[in-house]
Amino acid sequence: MTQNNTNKYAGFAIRFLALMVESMLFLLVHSLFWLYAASNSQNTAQLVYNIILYLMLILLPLGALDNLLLAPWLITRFGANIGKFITGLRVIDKNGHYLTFKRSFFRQVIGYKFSALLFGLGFLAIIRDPDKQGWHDKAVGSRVIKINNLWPVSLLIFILTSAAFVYTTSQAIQKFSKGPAINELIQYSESLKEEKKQDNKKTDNLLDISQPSGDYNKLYKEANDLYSNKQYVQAKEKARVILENAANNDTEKIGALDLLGYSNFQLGKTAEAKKYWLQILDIDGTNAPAYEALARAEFEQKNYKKAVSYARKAVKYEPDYAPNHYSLSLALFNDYQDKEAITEVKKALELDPDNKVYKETLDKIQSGQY
Amino acid sequence: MFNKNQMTTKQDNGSSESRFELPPYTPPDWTISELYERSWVIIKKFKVLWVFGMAAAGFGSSFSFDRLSNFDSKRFQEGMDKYFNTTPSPDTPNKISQVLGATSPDFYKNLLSLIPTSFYVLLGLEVLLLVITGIVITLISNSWSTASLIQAIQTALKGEKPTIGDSSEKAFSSIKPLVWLFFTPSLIFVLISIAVFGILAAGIALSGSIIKLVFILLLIITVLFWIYAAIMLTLSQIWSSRKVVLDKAPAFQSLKDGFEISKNKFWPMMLLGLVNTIMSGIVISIPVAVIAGFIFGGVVSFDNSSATGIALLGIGGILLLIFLLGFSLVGGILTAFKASVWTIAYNKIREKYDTK
Repeated sequence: MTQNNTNKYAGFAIRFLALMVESMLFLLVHSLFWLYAASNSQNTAQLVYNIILYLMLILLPLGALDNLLLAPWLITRFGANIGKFITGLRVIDKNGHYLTFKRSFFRQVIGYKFSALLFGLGFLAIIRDPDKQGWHDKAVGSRVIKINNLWPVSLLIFILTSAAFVYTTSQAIQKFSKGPAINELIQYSESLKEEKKQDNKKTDNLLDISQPSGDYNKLYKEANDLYSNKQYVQAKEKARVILENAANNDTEKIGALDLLGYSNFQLGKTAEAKKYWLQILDIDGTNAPAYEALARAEFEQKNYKKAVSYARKAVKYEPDYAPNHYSLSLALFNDYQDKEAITEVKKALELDPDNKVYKETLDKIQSGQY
Repeated sequence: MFNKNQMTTKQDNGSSESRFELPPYTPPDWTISELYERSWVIIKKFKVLWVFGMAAAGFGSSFSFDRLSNFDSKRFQEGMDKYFNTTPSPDTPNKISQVLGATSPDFYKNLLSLIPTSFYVLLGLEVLLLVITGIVITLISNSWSTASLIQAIQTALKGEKPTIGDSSEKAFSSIKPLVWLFFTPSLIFVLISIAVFGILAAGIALSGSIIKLVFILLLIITVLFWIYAAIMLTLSQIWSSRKVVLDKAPAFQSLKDGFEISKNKFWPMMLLGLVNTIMSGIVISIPVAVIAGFIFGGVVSFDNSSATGIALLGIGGILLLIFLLGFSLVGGILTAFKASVWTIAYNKIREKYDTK
């Protein structure tokens, strides 16, 4: 395409506007994805998934493809990239033709780097140059001309896209900061701190944990027998006696509390049961059976997220015990984390390969029957 | 009249016969002072050389969670009741966890294991592609900026005013051969070095005591040879790049000619290179020393007199800021100056050592 060379050369301000319009359009695409990611991250795993998706589909491709392919191709084909097109500018060579792809590529990739030297002096050179050429223009012999006076349209588009960008970004930040994923992260970091505290406490108190006494074993057996015969009220009372006599013996206390917890659970007093199991954790913060029991209790109360949290702790402190993995898989499945649920059922099966319930559960999840 | 080129002994019959002849006096191809003087003149006069100098110096399931309508929690309740043994075993309260100390990062492992493998593969491919593209673009931009700088210097040496457009236009045809020149010989050199040193290292590690000594000796000799080869490669590339840009010679031929020149002018080149390095060091280190002096003085005198300390630190800080802001400009000027020194030297020995 041959241009009339008396067309006016585009100055710094209008070229800057074209750059800002193009940048804002691309940023808007980014911010829309941020909003999508913030709205669809129900937990940390999903958040990580969305971040990787963002890197793969938006950040890397847009960043690379625009500079390396899209902009040079548009300038070769139409004489302008998106921003310049909207603003009514065209890039031409000294003969009035559009640039070849090689020159256009060089201008966009290497020429811009050249102009950006010394705090963008090459771009600022446009202001004083008689032909309004930056260093990148001089390097390839290009000029930027105005063919239509579209700067008001361009300015309007810039204002609208900026407003949309600010809105979507602020919405994304709001959704993320109030969403479940960040809560999970905060919970996890708090639980890490708690575990560290418990570990320290445990090392300090290691010598305090003593062996159960002979009386305790006898009483515990009696209580256990009552529990096995479904005499939960009596089992509870026996467990209370054990607890009163436990004094400073942590092992006996834990045993009694465990029994109290289960007895209350069987009597339908789940909240009460939870209190006893939590007391076990006060004594020993790494007691896996207590975590497993709490996971069951939360599951019963349909607090699946808490059930997942407790079940994970049980797995963490007793990773070779199959029921812990199975409890976790149930909690995960009900929390719509199917993939991880399948993983946990498989782990349970690895530890207990002959377990029919595990197999049945795995089959049903995989076949979509649940 | 005494002729320094000849010493003669007069015979009785008046004829003269030379006893010995000194070789004719050959002035050196260049003197460092001359190179520096000419370079300084053109660098001072033509600021566009600074710009190219800066460029040459500077130039890398879908998830759907709304499944309430499909989910039947009762089935799971059956499963739970079927398995969950609500009878606590006698051992349960005695299970005291043995876990002490730091815990393993299961949380992060779980997170990362949920991402499909294909995502990691695609992401890895994208990153690899970007890295390769970055390397190629860096090679091209380095070649272009070097070629443009040399062309601009040549124009300045002819007494004309160099411009960005003119120098860049002339440099375009030199990009491809320069990319080959900067990349291929260095790559081959690195690969050969890795192979040779690898073999020697393996020989030292795996062989017996006598043979080990042999390998160690070989290693020492190889290191010395490697240093010589690295220097020769660098020196060759200095000349060959000018040959490519100014004489439009093919890359491989230029490299051969560059090697020939380096062989013949080894020590003058080493001296010139050393002087350039010292000069660069002085130019950079003087402001650094001044700034360091202010800052150090400020810190030391802060204890005795906080006003003096603050004043010195303030001045040092401002100078440091100015230095950092102007560092790329100073670097560009130095690069242009050194390039101009080599270009002037090249012009003096052009075609003298061609292998054709």
